[in-house]
Amino acid sequence: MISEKTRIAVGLPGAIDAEIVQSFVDEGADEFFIGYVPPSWWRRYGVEASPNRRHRATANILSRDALEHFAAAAFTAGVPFDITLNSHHLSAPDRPLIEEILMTAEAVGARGVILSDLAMGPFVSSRYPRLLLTASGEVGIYNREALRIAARMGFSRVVVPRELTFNDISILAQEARLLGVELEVFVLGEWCVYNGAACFTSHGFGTSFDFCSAHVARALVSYDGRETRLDAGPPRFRGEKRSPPMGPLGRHGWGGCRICLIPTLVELGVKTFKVPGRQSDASGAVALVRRVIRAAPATNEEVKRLVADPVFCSGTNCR
Amino acid sequence: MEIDLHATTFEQLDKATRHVLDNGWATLAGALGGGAREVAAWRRFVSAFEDELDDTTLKGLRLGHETCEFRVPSIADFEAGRALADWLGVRFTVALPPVYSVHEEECNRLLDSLAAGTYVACSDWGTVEMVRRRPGLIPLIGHTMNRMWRFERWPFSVPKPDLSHLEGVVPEDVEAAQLEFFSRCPILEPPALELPLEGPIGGLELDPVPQGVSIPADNRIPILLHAPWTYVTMGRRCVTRALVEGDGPVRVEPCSKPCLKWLVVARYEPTIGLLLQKGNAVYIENTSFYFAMPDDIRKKARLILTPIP
Repeated sequence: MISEKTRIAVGLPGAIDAEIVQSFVDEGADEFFIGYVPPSWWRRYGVEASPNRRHRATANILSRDALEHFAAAAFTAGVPFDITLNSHHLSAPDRPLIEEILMTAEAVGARGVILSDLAMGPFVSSRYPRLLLTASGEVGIYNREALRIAARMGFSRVVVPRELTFNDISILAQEARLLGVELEVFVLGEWCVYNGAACFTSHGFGTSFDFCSAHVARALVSYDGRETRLDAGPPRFRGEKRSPPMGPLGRHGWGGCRICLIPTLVELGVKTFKVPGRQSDASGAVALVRRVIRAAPATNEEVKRLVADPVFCSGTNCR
Repeated sequence: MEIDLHATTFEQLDKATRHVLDNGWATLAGALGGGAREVAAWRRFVSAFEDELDDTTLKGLRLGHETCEFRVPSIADFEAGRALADWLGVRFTVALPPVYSVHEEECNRLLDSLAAGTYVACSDWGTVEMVRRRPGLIPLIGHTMNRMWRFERWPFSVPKPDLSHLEGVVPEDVEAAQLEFFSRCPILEPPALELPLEGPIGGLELDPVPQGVSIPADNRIPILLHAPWTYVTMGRRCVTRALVEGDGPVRVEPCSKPCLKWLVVARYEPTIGLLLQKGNAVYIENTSFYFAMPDDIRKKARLILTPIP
């Protein structure tokens, strides 16, 4: 097992300095994950064809120097970090570039790597034995059978895909205990409309909107041959922009914030909660998750009092 | 050319099979009650396919829902599908969606019920493993697993991304490299040799994609191509249900299946083709991508035809 206590893993964007690292640690972060696109990669492919699931320059560290500065800051703060290598598109011709990232990860003292390809597990552990392996949510570990494959391939931690329900996680958690694999669960994260592992498009880089929300916002709905635009349709559609409630925490949830579930998930053996932040600001969310963990509240009402945001807790984000 | 005909319900599969046998392919989407856009897309594909379709025969039936946990046909329906395939003397494929933990036992019961020789198109690695533990069944890596990106990737995005902050980058070189990058299928060219599973794979389902598909010369995995719809994405939080029932796409409990009567036609600009939000998944018409594929891939691959996704 990687950790003994309940931990918060926080994603960080590309531009990060010692002060920001320390501020997240002060809020309650126990570990970080970051994206690293080395110059050898972006000179060939740009950042859009990224080795991880974020395709904007701002979500990635783009130089070895910047990575070393970040690593030093994390080391000073006493917080481990992982490097994400969870693109859907890693393939054999890019193996030298992939190895460069793995070698760099080991050299700068990363604790481990987050992979989206289970087959890379034995490869990484045999060549870079100091790196711990985490299976990304992008693997799509939806059932016990997949969890067993991950364990067999040497993964010590599995990120539960965002789309799994509490009942799914409960079943996985029982199996994870038997296998000695740790589960990491998203809380207060941006909720993808689509399943990450089976989503073959991307956020709308280079545009001001994302594919996932934009195409829905402009959709036509058709029934019996009649079509209507959402914003001019029958009452059930009128005025509904499909955006999350815009309270102070609104951007963090579009269903299933799971913060009320933290105490139950801890009882099930979940030790790490994940707060994404590579393309958004995770501050505030980290502090709130830490408050909930520390207070160990027994009821949803107590959690809601800690959240102190009636808009966010209006029910939309609970499912 | 070998063709598998796919439908999401046994009734549709039965109706489609009989229509093809009696009337041919041209009017199939209309006969199945497809919407105007589905019928038009089907016509475009069949019309472009005319020369090759004449020489092809129906070699397989594929039944199931590959994206929705609430629309998996019953064991009895799969048995009826298998019986229909046996009657035709063609192979039978069961298509499954991602199997979430809560449905794992149900999936095991279904797999136990399938006759030896049945192909099972899977949508997650755990399901592939479940299939492989039953030696009589043949796993296919479904097209929800092939990981090839297919939409709004540079150079198809407008405006193109600004690369000026990347020192020393030549945009034209990067554009060519990205096309090459995205035309590879990571399943066929894995970065590490250790496949997560041992034993044979019956085939890999691919979609024609705008950037093209490159297949390694030494590939031994049989390729199946989907037409005329390229799968783009799917969500357990069903967008159609959210739009029709007036709530965010967050609920996953047993569903009233509004997708059976409501069709959402997505609008997204800039776009490279007709997007169809079908239930909890998005598809894009692929007729132009399909016919842009190299002959050596297109003519060797088995074809899965889905008139109505």
